[in-house]
This record gives sequence, structure tokens and C-alpha cells, in this order.
Amino acid sequence: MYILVVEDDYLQANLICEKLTSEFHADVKRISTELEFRLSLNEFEENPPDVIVMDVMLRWTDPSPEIKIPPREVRKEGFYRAGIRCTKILAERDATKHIPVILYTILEHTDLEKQLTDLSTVMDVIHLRKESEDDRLVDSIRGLSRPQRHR
Amino acid sequence: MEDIEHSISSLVITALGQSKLSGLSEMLKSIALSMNAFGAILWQVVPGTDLNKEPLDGYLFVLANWFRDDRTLALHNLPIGKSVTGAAVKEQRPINVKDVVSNNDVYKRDQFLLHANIKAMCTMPVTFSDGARGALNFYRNSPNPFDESDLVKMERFASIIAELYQAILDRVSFKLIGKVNDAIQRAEVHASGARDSKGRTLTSLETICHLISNSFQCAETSIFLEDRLEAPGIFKLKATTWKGSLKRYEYSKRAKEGLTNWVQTHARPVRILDLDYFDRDKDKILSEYKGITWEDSLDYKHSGRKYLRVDGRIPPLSFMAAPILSGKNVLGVIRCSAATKEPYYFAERELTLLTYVAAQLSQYWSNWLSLREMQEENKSWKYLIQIIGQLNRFAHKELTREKPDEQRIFAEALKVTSSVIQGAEVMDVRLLNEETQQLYFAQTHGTFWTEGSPTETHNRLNRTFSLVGKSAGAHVFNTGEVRLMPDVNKDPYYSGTFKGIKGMIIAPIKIEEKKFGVLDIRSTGDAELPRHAKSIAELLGQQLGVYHYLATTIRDLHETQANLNKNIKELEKLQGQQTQIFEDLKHQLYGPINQAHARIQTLLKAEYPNIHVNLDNGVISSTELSLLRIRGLCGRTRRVTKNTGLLADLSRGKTPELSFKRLQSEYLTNLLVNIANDNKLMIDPEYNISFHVDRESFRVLRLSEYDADHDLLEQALMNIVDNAFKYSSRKTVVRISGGLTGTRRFYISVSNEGTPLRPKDVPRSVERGWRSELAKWTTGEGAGIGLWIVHNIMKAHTGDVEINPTIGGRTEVKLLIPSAR
Repeated sequence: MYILVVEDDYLQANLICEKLTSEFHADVKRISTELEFRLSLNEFEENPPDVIVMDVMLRWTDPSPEIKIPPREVRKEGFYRAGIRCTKILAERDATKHIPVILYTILEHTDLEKQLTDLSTVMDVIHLRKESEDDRLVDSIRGLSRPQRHR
Repeated sequence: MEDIEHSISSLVITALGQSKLSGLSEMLKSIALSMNAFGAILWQVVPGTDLNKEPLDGYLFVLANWFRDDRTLALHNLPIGKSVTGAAVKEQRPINVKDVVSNNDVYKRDQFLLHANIKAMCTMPVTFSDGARGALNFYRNSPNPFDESDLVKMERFASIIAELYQAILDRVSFKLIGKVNDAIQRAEVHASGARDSKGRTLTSLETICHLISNSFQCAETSIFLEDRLEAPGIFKLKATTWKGSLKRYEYSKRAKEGLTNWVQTHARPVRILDLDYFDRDKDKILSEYKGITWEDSLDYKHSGRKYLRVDGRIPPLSFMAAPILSGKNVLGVIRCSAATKEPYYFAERELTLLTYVAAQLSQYWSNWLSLREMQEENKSWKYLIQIIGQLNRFAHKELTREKPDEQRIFAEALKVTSSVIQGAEVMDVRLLNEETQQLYFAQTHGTFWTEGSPTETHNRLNRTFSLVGKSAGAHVFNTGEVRLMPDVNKDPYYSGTFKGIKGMIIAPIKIEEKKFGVLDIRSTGDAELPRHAKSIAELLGQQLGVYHYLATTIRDLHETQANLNKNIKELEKLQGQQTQIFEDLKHQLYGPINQAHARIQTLLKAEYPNIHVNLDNGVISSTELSLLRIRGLCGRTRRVTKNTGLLADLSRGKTPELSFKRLQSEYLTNLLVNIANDNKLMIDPEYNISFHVDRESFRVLRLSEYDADHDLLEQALMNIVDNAFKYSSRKTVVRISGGLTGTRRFYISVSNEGTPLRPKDVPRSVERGWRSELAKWTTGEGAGIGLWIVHNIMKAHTGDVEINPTIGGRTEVKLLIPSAR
């Protein structure tokens, strides 16, 4: 099983990756920025993950003296809905639109209701609020073997 | 006796049958025939002659004459002092000359006596009803002198001739007055209803001229009138019976030369017996009419003479003119010249009659002008209604623009005012400057404004008027009442902005009692503003008041709306920012708490083996690593929580309360090491970001005394160290050191390499909620309040935070703490 974790907080990502590796003995890959995600799209098309655990609030890129300027929608919307943008990008591609995405975030369902409704028409998207117990994340991934809708 | 009575009866009957001045000749014919005379002349002394003067220099002129051979004589220069006739007049006795040829006292210079072969003559003094003196002469051309019985008859005739002459004059006068009355009445009827009332008026005036010419038997009767609606100050020829051309067809009010001008400028009638002897009789003429001159506008000296020939001779050029008055106001002049039948001279009576006709003409002309003024006024009001409609549409279009410009409305209003009010040439709108309480020119119209040098124009346009003091504009503004000044030069309130102004109207620009300014309307030259202009100006003033009020209100509304929109946008932005801040804080708090809890759970469950981990500063167990990370997470949570609390307090204006404690070197360095270490452990070790705390540099604290609130200082340090790690690139070092500035302030410096801070962003970096674009792209979470809180913590310490933008790749933040002393 190939799980992609898109999470910019190292400790959070570390926790998730450790758990998922332990539970699923999966190949867990981590991406920490939106830029890195976008640059990896071709790779995802060729080798799509079985599930993507996507943080919603995600930084554009790592600090550096030379920074690649983000596209207009990123500059306008900021990092607050980066994960939604990344999910939409997946939905626009035939090779990736079938990949189930778990939006794993501290944001409430009500914070993302409209975006979730829009996304659910084109993709399998699950909203899961981050809790200290990550068993729910494990259960959600397990449940993806059955047909899912956003919760 | 019976013979005399019969003759007198015949004379009276003859006289009563006369309705023309030439009827005098008929009377003389009747008398002469009864005297069996060849001819008779009725002489009159030239008016103004002093019969007591020595030597006597007056003249007699022919009032009427008749001769059997139908000759007519037009003589006016029979010297009183050198003629028998004159002697009879002076001495008031009849003189019978039985032999004219041999009598040297008989004046023979004019030769008519010899040419007519007069043999005998008799002269009888006559006194006319107005006191004028004269003589009745009889002539025979046969050697048959008049005898005593003839003299008796002559005396009787002489005694009644004056009365009969008066009777004829009365009849002529009444007839003329009646005919003039009829002509005027017909003219007034036509004027009220006719379309071409002007044309009919001129025809009526021509009719009156002909009536007068026929009555006075003169070659020229002319009427000059001022039409103040068309050409104020100009007396134009309206009608004439003169067949030739005139040198002048109009006279200006200000002109001085000429007989007609003299009449209109002095408002007095003039009568001159014979213009041909103007120069000879100049002294006498000037003594009666001071300053009068003769321009010969009918060119009597040359071309005009061809229209005057009477039986091959040029008659005396008698002249009279009367002013046409309305009160003291001269409306025009009526004049007559060159009688073509006897009497060839205009007597005082004729002048009186002419004056009476002038009075009738005055009434008629005044009525006609008033009627025209009323028609013009009606036209003006109708036009005004139309114009107001247009103006309202213009104003509406202007007022519905985003930024209505009332100057354009005023300009349009002044333009239409000039078309509605005849004579309105120089106009302006003056508005009140609320600050200075002075009226200033807001808009102008008319070429007068730009006359003169640029400096004069500038000064004129920028002139202001106080509301206090003696000025027409201030008076109108303060009272709210329209003021009409028919002649500004006679009005003490006129400020004298322009020379050459005749009339002025000032109307208030207001709505109800709220006043904004005044509307000025001026006429130039001799032009008078029509009477109804005052009402129109008042109406326009009110209209301008409405426009000004609307324009100001709309502008204020737009401004308010713009401010509201701006405030709404700012509120929305603030709301957006607040939403982001809350989401971010939730993210910053929830994440670490969750993670800390999860790690504690993991440790308790002992899910993972305790392995050793290599760190920069040595090897530690994975359990210790987890605990350190938990400490870091808790520290982050504590920091974010405290930031949130400080955000709330500072937003309410509450200054942090400080509890000062001495700063110790060891405490500080350990604190910094722990903070730095906690941060390092929370970032991906693959990024290979390390830190270095220069412990030595903090030794200065041993030598000097510096106090700080330890909790708040820790908070500030956690914020800036967190920033330093957050913005560091891979494989870089965060450097932390201390020291003293040149002013003995203690500083703690934290510097890093990574996301650059531009110099222009430095001032904003301590603003609440601000983050640079580069920072937003490279860190994600962050509410932009960290440095703002640091800034406020340092301010509370009477210290400072110094931010040095990226130079040579490093960005530095320094906390500056003043000495405790």
C-alpha cells in the first residue's frame, strides 16, 4: 500500500507516518509543501498513491533566499486552503481523480462545508478532524476499501 | 360807417371760415379789397426784441400778406429803427405815406415796394393777444393815397385783426389737436392687437408728422424717439415729412451739438425765426438758449434748398422743436422747420401747440413702450419657463454624476440668464466661504471679466466681499431680499468692481432661509435692465440655491458612501484577518496539544522501542527525545496561548504589567539554549538547521545591572527564536548572542539565514497582523502578531526591538533593554 502524507508540520507528519507505517506496513511518503506537491504531480499520475492524507493549511514552500513565486490563486487565497487546492488539482486529472483523499485538519467540517460539497461531486473526499487519537485516521483508511462519501 | 360795418362783417365771416394759418391771407385779402388797396401785409416784431433799446436794432417779419397780383413776400428783416412801419410800431401811431417813392423814411432796401410799383402806403400799429407788437400795412400802386376815411377804417381793422388772427390760430390748434388725438387713438388700437405693431406705430407717427406739417405748413416735421428696449440712450428718427436726406438719423443722449440735441439734453423747446440768420442773431439766440449750436442736419445751406423753393424763392428757415417728456424724462424730440406758406415763421403759439402735441406723443409712446415691455416680459417669462426646464435637465445630468460639479451648473445658468434678461451682460455667482465668512466669485459670465491686464483680471476674479459693512452684496445676503440698482453710479452701495456698468440686480441664492450666496446681473452702457428682471433674478437665485444644496448634499453623500465603503472593506479585511488569526491560532494551539497528547499516549503505551538517537549534541534515547519534543510542543502551546492573551490585552489598550527581576547571565543563556533546542527538535532533522548560543557574550550581564520581567522576556525570546527557526533555510545556523550597545543598553541578538526580510518591510514587521509575502509563502501558519507582541513587551520595558534586514544573507532581530540604573 502506498500512502501519501501531505503535511508541513514535521512532528505531526512524523506521528502520522509512524502510525500508518506501523498499522498498514505501507510505503508512506511525506510531502511538506504545496510546491513540492505540484512538482510531484507527474509522479502521482504515473504511480498514484492508494490514499492521500492531506493537511488543509499547508505552506507554499520551504524558507530559502530564493523563493519561487506562487501562482495567482495561491497568492490570493494564501496557505489556509492549500490542501483543497491540491485536491482540486488531483480531481482535474484523469489519472489522479480516483485517488481517495482524507482531508486531515484541525478545521471543523463547517469551516470547509462548501469546498467539501464542491469536491465531493468529483472525488472521494473524507474530512477528518485532527485528534490526539489517530485511530480514526487508521479506521478511515481501512474503510476506503468500501465506497466512501465525505463525512 | 355802414360801409365799415359791412367790411368788418365780411372780415369776421372770412376769418371764421378759416382752418389753416394761411387763412390769414384770406383775411388780409378781404381787408385790402375793402380798402381798395393793392395789397396788405401783417407785420410782427421778432420775438425778444427790446423796443426801448437805443439804438433800436430789432426787426419785423411778415406774418401774412396778400397782393392783387398773387405775389407773396417772405421778409423778416425789416429794421424797426429804419422803417416807417417800425416807427409806427415803436411810437404806436399810424403813419400814412402818401408818396412812397419820394419819402426817405420808407425802407426800400428789399426793393419790393419799387418792384410792385407801390405809390402809397399806410401803417397801423397792432398788438396781438400774447402782447407781441406788429403793424398792419396797406399799399396802393396807383397815385391815390389813403385818406382820412381810409385811416378810420384801417384803425378798426387793426383793432380786430389780432383777435381774428387768434381765432384762426385757435381753430387751427383745435383741429390739429383733434386730428392728432384721432391718429393716436387709431394707433393705440392697432398696437394692442396687431402682429406688426411696430410697423403700424411707425405709420401712425408718419401720419402725425404729416398732420403737423399740414397744419403748420412746414417742409419738415420729424419725430425722434428713444426705444429703451432696443437702443437705450439713442433718439432715432421714427418719422419725417422731409423729402431729402438727413445728415443725422439719430441723436445720442450724450451728444451736445445741434439744435435737436440741445432740446433733448435741456428738455426745453426751441424756436428760431430764421436759421439763415443764425450767425447774425447768434447773440440773441445764445442769450435765450445757452450753448446752442446749429449743425444744419437737413443741409439747408446746400442740397436741402431744392425742397424749399416757394414761387422760385427760398423762404425763411424757421425752426422749432419741443421735447417729448414723461415727467423729467426725455422720450424724444419733435421738430418742425422751413414753413412753406405764410406765415413763414413759427410764432410762440405754434411752439406751444407743438409742445402740446409732444405731450400727446409722450403719452402714446410711453403706453406703446409699456405695452411692448409687457409683451417682452410675457415673452421673457414664457422663455424662462422653457429655460428653467432645460436648466433642470442639465442640472439633473450633472448631479447624477459621481462627482457633480456645480460650477458647470452655475456657468449654464448664467448663460441662460443672459438670454432671458435683455441687457444682462456681466454676471456672476458669489458664494459664501464658511471659514472666512466672505463672498467670493464662484462663477462668472461676460467679456468684462477678462478685460485689462492679466493682473487686473486676476485681482478682479479673486476679490472677496465681507458680510459686514456697506456693500450691496452683503446687504442682499444678510436680508435675503433682491436689490435693484437702476444706476450703480448713483448708488452708494455699489462696490465698483467694474467701470462702465449701468444697472445691477443682486438676488440671494438661497433655499428658504438658508443662504449660500448671491447672483449678480449687470447691464452696461446706457442699457437698462427691464423691470421684470428683478423677479426673474429672484427666481433664478432660488433655483441656484436648490442646485447648490443638491450638489453639496450629493457630494457629501458620495463622500460618506465612499467612506462607508472604505470602512466596510476595512472591516471585511479585518474580519478576514481575524478569521485567519483565529484559524491560525487554533492550528497553532490544537496541533501541538494533539501531538503532545499523542506522544504521551505512545510513551505510556510503550508502542515503540526505546532506541538511541543521534543528535548534534550527543546521543539520547528515543524516550528522552519524545519527552523533549513534548516539552517543545508544550512550550509552543504555552507561547501561543500567552500570545493570544497578550493580543487580547493589547487590543483593549491594556499595557502588560511588569514584574522586574535582575537578569542573570546563566539564567538567560540556559533559557536561550532550551528555547533554541526545543525549536530545533520540532523541525525536520533532514533540514539540518542548527543553532549556536554565544554564552561568552552574555557575560556582560555580570558587570552591569539589567532588569526585566522574566515571563514576558521569555515570551519575547520564544517569539523571535521561533521566527528564526521558522524562516531558516536548510543547512543553516541560528545564531544567538548578547552584548552592550554604545548607549549601554543590553541586547540579545537572534539571527538566521533563509527567507529574506527586505529593508522596506522592516517598519511594517512590527505591525499587528502584518506578514511579508515571502513569510506567508514559506511558513504557512502564523498570525503576524509575534513581532508586534515583542515590540510591545520591549516598549513596556522602555526598551526596543531592532530589526536588521537581510544583509549578507542574515536577518537579525535584537532586543534592547535599558540599564536598571
